Amino acid sequence: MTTAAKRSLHPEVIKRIGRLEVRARHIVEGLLSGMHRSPYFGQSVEFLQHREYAPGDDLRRVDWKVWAKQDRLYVKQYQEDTNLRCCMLVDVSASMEYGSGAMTKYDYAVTSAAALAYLLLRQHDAVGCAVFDESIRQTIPFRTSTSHLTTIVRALEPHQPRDKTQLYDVLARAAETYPRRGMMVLISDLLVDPADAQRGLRLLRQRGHDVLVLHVMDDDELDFPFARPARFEGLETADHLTCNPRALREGYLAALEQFLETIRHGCAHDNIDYTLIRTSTPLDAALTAFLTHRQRERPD
Amino acid sequence: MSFLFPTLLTIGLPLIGVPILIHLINLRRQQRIRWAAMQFLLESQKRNRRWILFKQLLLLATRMAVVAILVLMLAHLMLRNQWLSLLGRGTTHHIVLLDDSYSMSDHWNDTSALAEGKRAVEAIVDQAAQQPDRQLITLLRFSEAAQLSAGAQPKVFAEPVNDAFRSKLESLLAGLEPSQTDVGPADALKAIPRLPLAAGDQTLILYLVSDYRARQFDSATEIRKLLADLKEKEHVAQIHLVRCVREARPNLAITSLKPASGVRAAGVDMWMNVTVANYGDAPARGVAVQLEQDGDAVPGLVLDDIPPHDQITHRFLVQFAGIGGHSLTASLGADAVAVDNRRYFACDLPAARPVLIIDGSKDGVGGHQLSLALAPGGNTRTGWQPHVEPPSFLADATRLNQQAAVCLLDVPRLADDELQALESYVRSGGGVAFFLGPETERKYYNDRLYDAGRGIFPAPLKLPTQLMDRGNTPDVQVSQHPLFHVFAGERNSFLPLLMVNYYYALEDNWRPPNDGSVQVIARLRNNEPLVIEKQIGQGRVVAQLTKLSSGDTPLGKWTNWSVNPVFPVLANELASHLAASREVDPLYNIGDNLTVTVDERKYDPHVRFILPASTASADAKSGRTRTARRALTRPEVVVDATASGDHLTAKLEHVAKSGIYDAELQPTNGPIEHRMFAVNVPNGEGDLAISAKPSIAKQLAGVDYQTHDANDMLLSAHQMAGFQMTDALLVALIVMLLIEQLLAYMASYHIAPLRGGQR
Repeated sequence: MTTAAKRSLHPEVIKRIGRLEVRARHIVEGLLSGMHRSPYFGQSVEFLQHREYAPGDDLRRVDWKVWAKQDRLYVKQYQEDTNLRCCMLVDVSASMEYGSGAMTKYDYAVTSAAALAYLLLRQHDAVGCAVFDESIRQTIPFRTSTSHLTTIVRALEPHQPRDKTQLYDVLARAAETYPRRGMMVLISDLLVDPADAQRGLRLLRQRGHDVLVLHVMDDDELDFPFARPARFEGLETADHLTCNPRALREGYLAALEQFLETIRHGCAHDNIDYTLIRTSTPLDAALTAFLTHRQRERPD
Repeated sequence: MSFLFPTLLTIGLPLIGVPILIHLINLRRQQRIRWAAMQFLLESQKRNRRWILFKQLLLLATRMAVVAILVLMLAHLMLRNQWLSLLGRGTTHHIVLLDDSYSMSDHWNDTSALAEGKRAVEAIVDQAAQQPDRQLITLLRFSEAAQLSAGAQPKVFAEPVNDAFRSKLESLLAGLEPSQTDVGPADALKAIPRLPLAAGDQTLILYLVSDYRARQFDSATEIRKLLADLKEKEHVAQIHLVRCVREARPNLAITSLKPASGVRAAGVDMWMNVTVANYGDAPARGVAVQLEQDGDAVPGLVLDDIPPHDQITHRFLVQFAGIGGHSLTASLGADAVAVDNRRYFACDLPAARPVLIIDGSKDGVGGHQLSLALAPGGNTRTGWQPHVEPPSFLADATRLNQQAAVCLLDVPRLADDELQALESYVRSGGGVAFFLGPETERKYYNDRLYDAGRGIFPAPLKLPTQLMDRGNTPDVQVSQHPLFHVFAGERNSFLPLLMVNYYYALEDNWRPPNDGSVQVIARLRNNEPLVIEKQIGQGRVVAQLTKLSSGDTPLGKWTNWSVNPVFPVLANELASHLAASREVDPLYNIGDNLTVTVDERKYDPHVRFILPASTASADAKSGRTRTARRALTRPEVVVDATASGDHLTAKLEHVAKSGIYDAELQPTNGPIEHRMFAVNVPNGEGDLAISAKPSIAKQLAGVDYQTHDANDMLLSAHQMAGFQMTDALLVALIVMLLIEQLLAYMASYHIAPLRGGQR
């Protein structure tokens, strides 16, 4: 991806785009235009078109016959299968409201979800969506039509983060709501009991779902850069703490690392793809994580 | 424990609460953060709460301590003797050495060095009076210290500081004038071990209040050693050097006024020398010297320019009429130091001074001719009273010592007692002239008088020799010597008239010794020595290797020396030269004793000393003394003479003021007689060049001391008592700041800036 394309996916830039749907398109198009190799054109028996070879393309896809005739390199592109069913589970609990940069975790999560939805709908996959906090607030069924993006975006847009996250209940409910096997993309800050989250994710795996976790965290949460005395008030709880942040930083980071390690270890154990994303990183992170995951699941 | 600036303490102590205040303000200013990941924060808090609280309390205490130490330091905490007083040791003894040498009379604007010194003393006492514990003051003037005997107490010794003492000190300082001594700091410091200080139960603080002149401090090895010894042996806790002068001023001084030659008799012209030194950095031009003869002004002198840091000597004539005591005073115009602008000379003039002539020749012509030359008679007064005596006259030492000069003409030999008395006479300052001749016993002269260079005769004799090859060249070649002043000038016609036929040649291998004690002052045409001079002790011997007289001898005439037209001049110059080295009117310095010795049978035992004018009081310590005042404002001291044998001796001890002292003697029969004494200030003290602080620091390297300027002692005097804790507090402050930083680091206040900065 070029530097310009990368810059266009930066949270500060994306935040300027008001509508979520437009954001999603901008991100996906920006991401794809920056890629030499088209990521979403999968391997299929149905030939779609030729494209001139670009450095980075898989040599196995070079059409050698055309090369023999014209002495020019072309790669063959095929129509992707459309039988993927992907459901995005987006956390809109109160804890997602925190944000130190251009975007809150909530902004980042819904934008990533919309971009993913757009990406999938472009290649005619079926996309569903569920928005949750302490319970599933709204569910959107699977559809493949391009216009389904609008439905998904409407489901994501109006929410004001609130309430606590009850992840196990939510994931159990999602497993019931979407019984048919497919891909489950969980976008959350996972600020719940790790065991609770692990149980829920394992349940999805047990139901045969391919699970991808996009763990969205703010820079402040990962670095804890506070220097001045502060009063911290819980977003999801009534807890509050007045302290010198510098004195607590070491302990905080240790506890955070332990938490992340637990999550990472649990996901690895259950064969769940886990990606930790900072809200300061460009928006393509979520898409790249998704594509990497899919690539691994469906190797050429 | 006390504070120099308690006001600062009052203001500063509440500042110790500032760290708490800042903490409280920060609590109010804390930012409010709505936070998602509370679980990690609470876990961290739960895990570290006690340790964090402990570190923060420690940090807070350290910061409060830093403020407290800073306040204590600024308030000048002094650990006084309160701790020691618990053990019965609570006395601070301030020993103030005040320079009162006459360089302290250096004045400028409306103050003087001594006035600055007095102010410094008052400041020290004021400071001491403010201290809560027991304070003692000893004030020792330099001039007083120099005369302080072991165990004696100065006038102000270990006086408790109270209102009565301060009142006493005020009047004491008001009447304190610079002395006329040149006592330096070394002499004053030497007096401290002689003080009867109580051993070990006092904190001694020494103040050296002086003008710090270069002549004393540019080479202060002795002072450094004395100060170091005082620290080590006398346990002086602190040494403060207080400077009363900050810049050197030019100054002129008359350093000498004395006769230039030995002619000193009533009614005879006397040559005098006056020497003026310029201690300034610029040449002194047109310096005028005022003269007073017996108290009456006489025409003064105008000297040549005096280069900086140099001196010139001017020769002038005076004539005192009448026998007896006379005085001469030379003075300069006013400058920085007045006391060295005057110089005194006193003499007791006879009608004439005796010159002993011993003529060993058979015809006695030489003695007669020399007597005539020295005392021609008539209206001509030369000031000499020649008398021809046989050699046995020399054996009477008393009479010999009364002679202004001795001339031995062709004396064959001397008896042992005569030779011994003559040697003693010469070594004590007498002048002897030898004239050789046919009667001279060469072997005796060589063995006894020359004695391989140890005797009084300057060279070993060989044989009478005839001067040959007479031509146009004069027989005698003279050097630039006062004796031959009459022959000065290239076209002088007197020298060719001198003729020498015979002379005593000297041993071939004789050369004048390298120490310069023997000089050939006249030679013959053949370059053989003719007149030789030898310095022995304080006296001098002149030997002429030919006859004085022109009388016939078996060899013929030796010389025409005595019939030469300039012979009377030469004879007078010779007598004057011989007599000059014998100081019959000694010069006295400040601190000397003036002694009058008279025959007990002829004089009353009460001697009245009339002191120089003004209010000075001499220290008359011997015998009973009575002080009265004359109408002419000259104080008097009557000293009772003490008898010793058949002599009476009256002594005025340790004279403290320069000037002319007149001792009145009352003979049992006859009118009052006067003896005059001239007392002068010692030289050099008028050199006002001062030693810079770096120079003092270099000289006193290794001695722990503090320097102060007398005019800001009012401020710095506050630092002088007790044990200052400033340095210790500064160290403590640095240590506490380091601890504070360490604690702050431990309390995570020094986390390296994070990416994107801290918030």
